[in-house]
Amino acid sequence: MNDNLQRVIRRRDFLRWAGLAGLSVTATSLLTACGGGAPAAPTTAPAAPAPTSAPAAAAPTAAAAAATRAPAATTAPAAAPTTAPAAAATKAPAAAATTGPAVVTTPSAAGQGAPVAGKADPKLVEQILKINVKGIDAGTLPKLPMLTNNKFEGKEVIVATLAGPPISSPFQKLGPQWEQATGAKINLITFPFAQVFEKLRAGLATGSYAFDLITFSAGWAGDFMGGGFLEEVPADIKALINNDDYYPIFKGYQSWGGKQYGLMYDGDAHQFYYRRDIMEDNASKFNGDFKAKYGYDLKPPDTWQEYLDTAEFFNGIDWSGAGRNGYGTCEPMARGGGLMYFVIDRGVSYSKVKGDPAVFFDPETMKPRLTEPGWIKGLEDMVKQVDTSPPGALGFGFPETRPIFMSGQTVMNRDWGDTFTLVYDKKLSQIKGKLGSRPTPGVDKQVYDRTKQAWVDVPKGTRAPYLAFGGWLIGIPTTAKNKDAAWDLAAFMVSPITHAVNVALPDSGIQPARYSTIDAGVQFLVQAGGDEQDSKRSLDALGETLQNPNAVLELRIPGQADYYNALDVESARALSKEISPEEAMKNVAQQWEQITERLGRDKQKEAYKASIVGLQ
Amino acid sequence: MTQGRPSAVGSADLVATGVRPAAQHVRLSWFERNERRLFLAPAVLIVLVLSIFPLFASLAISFLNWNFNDMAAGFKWVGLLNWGRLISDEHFHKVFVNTLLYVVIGVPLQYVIGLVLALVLHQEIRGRRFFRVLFLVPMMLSPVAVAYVLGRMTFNESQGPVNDLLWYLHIPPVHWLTQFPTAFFTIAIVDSWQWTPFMLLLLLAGLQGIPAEVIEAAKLDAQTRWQVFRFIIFPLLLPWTVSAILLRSVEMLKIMDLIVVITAGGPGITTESLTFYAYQTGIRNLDLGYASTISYTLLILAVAVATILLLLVRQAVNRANA
Repeated sequence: MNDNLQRVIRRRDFLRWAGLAGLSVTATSLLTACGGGAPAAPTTAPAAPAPTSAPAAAAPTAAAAAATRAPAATTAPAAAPTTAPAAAATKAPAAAATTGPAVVTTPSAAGQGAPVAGKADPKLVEQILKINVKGIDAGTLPKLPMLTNNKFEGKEVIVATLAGPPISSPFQKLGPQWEQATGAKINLITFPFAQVFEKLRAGLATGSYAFDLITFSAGWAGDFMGGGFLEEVPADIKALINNDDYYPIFKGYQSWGGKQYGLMYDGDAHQFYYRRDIMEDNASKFNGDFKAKYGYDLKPPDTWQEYLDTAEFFNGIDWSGAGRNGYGTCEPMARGGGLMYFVIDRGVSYSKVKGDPAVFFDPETMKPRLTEPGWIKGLEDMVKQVDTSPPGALGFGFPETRPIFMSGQTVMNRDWGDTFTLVYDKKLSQIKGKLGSRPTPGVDKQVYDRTKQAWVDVPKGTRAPYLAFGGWLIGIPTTAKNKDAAWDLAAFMVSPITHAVNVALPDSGIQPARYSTIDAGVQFLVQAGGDEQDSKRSLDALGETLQNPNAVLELRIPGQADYYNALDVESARALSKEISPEEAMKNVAQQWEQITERLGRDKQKEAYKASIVGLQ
Repeated sequence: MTQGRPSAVGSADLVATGVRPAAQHVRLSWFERNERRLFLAPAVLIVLVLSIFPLFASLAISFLNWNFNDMAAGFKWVGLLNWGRLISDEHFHKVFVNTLLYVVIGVPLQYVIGLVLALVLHQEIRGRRFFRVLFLVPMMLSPVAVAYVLGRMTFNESQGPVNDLLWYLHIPPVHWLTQFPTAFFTIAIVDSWQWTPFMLLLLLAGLQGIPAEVIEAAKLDAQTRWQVFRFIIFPLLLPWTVSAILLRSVEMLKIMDLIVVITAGGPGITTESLTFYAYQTGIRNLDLGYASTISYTLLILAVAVATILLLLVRQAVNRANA
């Protein structure tokens, strides 16, 4: 063979083997990507866990004996005249058969109007009050004790959570202390509110390793806990975190089918906020005009109609004396910004009859109740509210509404508990010392009774405060790689002391879920930088909400996010006047029916029934 | 052709020597016989796995009810149910029209501005090279960043500079993001800001490909510059125009990122697109069957739009040639 031929052969050999090597690498990569090392999706996990006769939180409501040690007890505002009459303390059935959510103990009527307090271990409260939170409003962080001496050198915990500051900021601010103590690293992945659910579910549904620790809504328990995507909480972790210190409502949210899969990180309930310097201290300045227009005295609203009147009255006038016209109220109205929670607030107010906890569906048929007049009336009210809100309100989610209220542009606001700590955030708030707070408004005349298919009178009025979102839980996915480190971090983040500090952090988005936090209450918040009256009134309102026997808990069945998404989209259409409220609710009901069919009507019915057992 | 490569000895030589070709044929190894296939295999495999398989799999899924949350239950054959849902789904009808409107409004706007800019930058003007680079910058930016800064912040209704400017001019504020049709136009404007440079790039390349002599000759014959453009430049640019409009139309049909950031599909669903709806249905609601069906309608729509465009252009070219 001559040289040329040899060169050709050498070149061919090179190309041939290079090609083969490339092919091998490609094939190996594809095989790996197609599931070589990844565990299969948790198909063996039961969609609906086995029946259990021992629901995790089936204990009788502890707050029935609401103690009077709470700092706010003596200063609680007079109970609203529309508040639901006291009812007998509720006990969840001891053996509520359930294939779904844990039975969540209902709030007790006893001691209604009093703050939620007196259940905590006094030593725990003492420990919390020893933590120096002075300067936390300006960014100075206290040193926190660790729960364990565990070391996880070189480990990385991937935390998936909400884009902050709310919910993720405690990991950013307090997480470094845990990192320093354990030697592990936290890798924080955050998603905007509108995408958290789908990103988490997509990450978990693939069955491959994506996260070591996730934070999720109590309402998504059906999908995450019921879907078999989360680890059961180990006994040693339960022992570490003072599980009995949780308020029963929130404690119940941690379980599904009698097994605990989550740790309560944040307790959520909607509240109503107003400027007390305007509506109480200077009420006389506006009362004449107000009474002439609406026929009653100006006061913090107790009903939706009063809320609407008050917002309308203050909208477009210079009520603050700042030389510019202010606005009536602001609440999230943007699609993807939490709108549906605020629609539900109103819908359940008009549709919740005492003793009938089935506000979302007919539990016998799983037919949505949304086309009933009560729900439609709720959405109609909200559509009217658009005109009493600042320009662009239809584009606001809660990240926008909070700064608007904090900067003094609106006289009222509806929000979760975030407002009562943000109010002393030095970077944000101009209304410290001017905050008033009440439970979510109710109705004063009639509610719609599904069993009678008619409006029924409620002579004394009624409130049905909605514990929107239910709160954020921490869970560890079954696919997590660093479970030990993740559980250690989870326990640290939810421990009574960290929880109290999180609540005191102005922008943490964490609200009290523990007796100890409530007991430390006003004193702790004042030390953190809060105004005494602001804090007192907010905790009073929270207490009244949590103890109202007519309170509505979060919908907690598989597909909850899908049901809510449909409500969110169609409500947004109604608010923008693209369709009527009636049409919107009809569309939502139709979509809810499709979701129920897709997920299995019988399974959904069973889960829904289980979710309302023990409620009234 | 069946063998790998030709023998070192020609077949004519073999006949001349009286030796049977098979006996003298160099024996090829398996690798030698298959090396072309092997070289092609990775690319074919990737296309099969990442394009062809999903294409057919999603078509199959459109006939199923498949719930990712209950994998153990497997999937259920539902026939044409998902396709039937398209007919009664008012939400789908609305976003279908929205998607078409994005193309009908956005693409011509981008084409006209792109063409004007291309004609200007084709002239011998000072700083031409600087402007050519400058005008391409928006295309290089992340759509999410563009959507947030230009869409959400600039057009913010209470704090954005646009309404602020209107206020100074004593013009009432405009609901750029929360009212239809202004929200729709805001998205079209932002999209045009980002993607007009793409039109500019292609059309400028087309202009530079037209021989200078042709233009010079046309200038001698024509009475006005408009006539030069109308009868010479524009027809010669048609192939580039087709490419630019076709590519942008297909891209525009898939618009989602800007919408998610600027309006999240709102107010209501007035700015939502088919892709966003398919994403919501499939990824959020995990209704994979219906999401696949929606995606397929998008594919059909894209093919239809491309075909119609090509037909129109072919007619225009024929007319020009005639």
